[in-house]
Amino acid sequence: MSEIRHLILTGADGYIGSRLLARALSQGFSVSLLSRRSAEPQQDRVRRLPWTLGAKLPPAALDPTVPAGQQALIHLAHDWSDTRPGPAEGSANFDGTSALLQACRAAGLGRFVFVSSQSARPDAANVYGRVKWRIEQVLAGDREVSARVGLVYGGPPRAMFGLLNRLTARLPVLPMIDPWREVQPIHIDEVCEGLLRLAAGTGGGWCGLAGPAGVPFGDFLRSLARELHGRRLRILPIPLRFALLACDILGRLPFGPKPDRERILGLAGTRPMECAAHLRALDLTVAPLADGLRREPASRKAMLAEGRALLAYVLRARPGRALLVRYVRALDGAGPMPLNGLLRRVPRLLCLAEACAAGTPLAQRLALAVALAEASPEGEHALAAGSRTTRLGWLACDLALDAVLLPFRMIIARRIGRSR
Amino acid sequence: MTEPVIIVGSGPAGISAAWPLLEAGVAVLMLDASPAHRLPSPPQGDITALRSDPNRWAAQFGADLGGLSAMGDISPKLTTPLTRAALAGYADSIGVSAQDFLVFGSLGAGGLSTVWGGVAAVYDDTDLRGFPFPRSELLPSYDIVKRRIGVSVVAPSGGVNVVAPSGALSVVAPSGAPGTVAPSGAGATHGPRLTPPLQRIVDAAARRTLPANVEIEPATNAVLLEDRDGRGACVNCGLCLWGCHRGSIYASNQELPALRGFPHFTYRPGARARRLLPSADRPGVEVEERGVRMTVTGQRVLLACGAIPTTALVLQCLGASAAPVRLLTNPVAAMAFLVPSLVGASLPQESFALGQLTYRVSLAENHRAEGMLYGADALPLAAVAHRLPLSRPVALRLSRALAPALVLATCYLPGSFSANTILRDGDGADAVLRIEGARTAAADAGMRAARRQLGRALSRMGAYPLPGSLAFSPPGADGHYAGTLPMGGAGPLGTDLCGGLNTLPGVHAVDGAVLSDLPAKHCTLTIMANADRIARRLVHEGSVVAAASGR
Repeated sequence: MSEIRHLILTGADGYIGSRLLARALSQGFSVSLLSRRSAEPQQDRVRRLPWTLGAKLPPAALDPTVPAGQQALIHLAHDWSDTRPGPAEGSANFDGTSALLQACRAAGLGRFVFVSSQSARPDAANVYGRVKWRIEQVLAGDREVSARVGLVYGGPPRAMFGLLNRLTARLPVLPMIDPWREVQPIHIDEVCEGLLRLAAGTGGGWCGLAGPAGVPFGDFLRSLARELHGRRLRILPIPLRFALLACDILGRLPFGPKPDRERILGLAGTRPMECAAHLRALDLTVAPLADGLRREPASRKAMLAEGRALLAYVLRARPGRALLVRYVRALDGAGPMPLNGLLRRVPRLLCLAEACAAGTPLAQRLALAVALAEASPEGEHALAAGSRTTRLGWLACDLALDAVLLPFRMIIARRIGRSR
Repeated sequence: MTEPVIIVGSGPAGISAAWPLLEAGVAVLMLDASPAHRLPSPPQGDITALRSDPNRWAAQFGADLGGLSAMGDISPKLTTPLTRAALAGYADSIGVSAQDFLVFGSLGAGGLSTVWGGVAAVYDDTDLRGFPFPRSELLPSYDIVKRRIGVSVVAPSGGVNVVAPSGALSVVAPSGAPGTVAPSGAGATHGPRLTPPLQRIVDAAARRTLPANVEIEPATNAVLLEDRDGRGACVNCGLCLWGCHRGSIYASNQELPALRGFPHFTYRPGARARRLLPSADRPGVEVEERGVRMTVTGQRVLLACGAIPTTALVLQCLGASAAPVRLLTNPVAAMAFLVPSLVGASLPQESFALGQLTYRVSLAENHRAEGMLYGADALPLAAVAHRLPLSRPVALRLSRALAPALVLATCYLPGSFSANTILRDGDGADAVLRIEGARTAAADAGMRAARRQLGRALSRMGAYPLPGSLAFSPPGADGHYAGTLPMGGAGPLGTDLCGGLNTLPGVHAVDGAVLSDLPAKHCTLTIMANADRIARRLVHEGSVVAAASGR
């Protein structure tokens, strides 16, 4: 197969599509976007053409200077309003995709990549999974391939990731169905890289783009809460029927999150997908969930918030930016630890949370904060300020307060010891 | 052309053995495994400037902040950028697998002396009772080495420093006034000084008598009092912990330029001894240099690469050892004392972070425990705060209040209280040197007895022991590895009075491996003096010949 130089993207305004566009451009592809949106200021190497699912492939989508065999189409667009049950034939998604596929075949395109889902099955619980499976059946030959994508996280907080991100950022307890069901998370950048490699590669059938190891969905959500928001999340298992009812009720309220019934059913019907061999064939490494999350800007923000609280507690003054950045650097890729929002706002209360037991994550990070604070101008100022009498006076008060708080701290230490 | 004497290692023993040979006209080839990497530069200025320096973190933890992850119950010195860089990867590179034992060493030029604590202790008659030669044979070498490296006694605050007395152990009155005078008669106006809590102890000692079984005196350190040979005099900058930017504290690599001034001295950095080739007339060493193996031969081979690597080379040459070999170390513990009147005082503007006073405690059965007393004002407070069972902000503030009032003591027991073994396991490239660390059952009781007696003595002088502050370090933490190839010992691992291996002709060990015994003292100065003694004796006996005279 000849080298792919031009890409045609559908759904490029979506969660994955917009990230994929940026990555494709950074890798030197020229791109035509088939989009419902009207034309925007043209970027270099990008052409935006009006198109909706079901419409014909605009001839201008192809780059006349590049042989058709060196052009590929990645089809991400999906009409979420099309949720009618029954056979896929006749649905906007099936018919639209089939028409697009036929046009690509007619134009002699080098590659057609259909973005499908881990839930693609003939007996999938949701319409989405059944339609995706049905579309896969019309792909043929080794120029047409389907990418079954796992649970995508990272990047801008949109789509399913956006919803889960919002929920885990706000709720102390998250009701959910079947938290033990395993999902296969993959970072959005890994998905985009996988799609580009599929577009540039050969071979038909389907290819799994997902984490090779399953993660219980409850753990996935807890990781989101911890790594992106520095929070501890509790999961309340609920029956599927109750979840669907809650989803309907929330959908009718004028405020609050709007969980999608289709997506809930998709998660409820997720089954393990063997994809390690696919990833190897693509030479694509999927990072463990925690590592992927720690690359997110939100994770760094949570680390800075944690550092601000711990250093302010130790210093009893606002730490400077340089000290905060050093705190994050010193933890070298470790994610934030769960820290109650109240403790973040009022760091002095950490004197209650700070258990007597050594070896807890809080104790370890406080030891780090102490070392860094001492070795900073802020620390020197905090420790050397005042006369000897003043310093000793405050120290006596501190020691008296510590003595009063000791029983509370010991109780907390014992509780932590029990829960560990 | 006469063949050279091959010296393996550029640490204190190797350098000390090289001097008398070169001065006698004997050609020397020094093989040094030193890797190409440079050690990080120590911080400049002084402790007061460092405390408010925005880049203090880099000086303290390294630009990579790696010192933070090394923190914990270990000595704060081991977390400094210089020490971490000097010690990095040592155990792996020499193929040691250690259990319950800390292996320190450095493949860099100067070896472990580049991070030396500088304590320059002289063994007395009691210390040398297990050695196969009289003390009088070692005393001239002590003098020579002390003059060469520059040794001084810590002076009382406002007093005058003196060069350490030569020959005999310094005799110092309890008042802290050294019992000797400086060679110039005037002494240096600056140099290591006692910090306030240690000064209080010395002042009190002038008024009260110490218990009969405890002796305390100002410490003798390998620290310069005047600028010399590119090294600067100690100015009490207090940065000793992070490495002396003035070069006041001795490290043996400081002497390499002077040695290179001898036309018959050849220094080969990056040349690592891989195998000994014993021979009565032309012993040699198989050397690996830039990945290439070659053989060098000479009149004699002097092993001076540190007790553990030296032992490894000998065991490799003798074949896999059937029985574990005894490895002496000094069981060591740390303890803290407090001078209450100084609590909360401002930290002193200048400081000296090496040993300031040395003490000796008599134990049962003629044993002695010895150690050094240090101030804590120049230490990172996090190391002290770490041990206080308080909330962290209070622990940090209390540490700061205690720092000017703390006296930290190390306490060493004789090597006979250690029960470490070293064993070469396997053969060929897969061979591993297994070290198992342990101390005898009597060590704990001995250490507690030493603490009790020292505590009683210091309490009389206004420094009170802090409860719960006695902390044992793991075996090997002292870094005093010795006694594997003892002088006067029988069998294949024994050596003669010149460190010559009983069964490996032409091969001598001249480092800590040949110490016949390990008293409760810092052994570096004795290792240097013994290396000097051996080299002189080899020249004197005609075992090695000068380049000019031919063979």
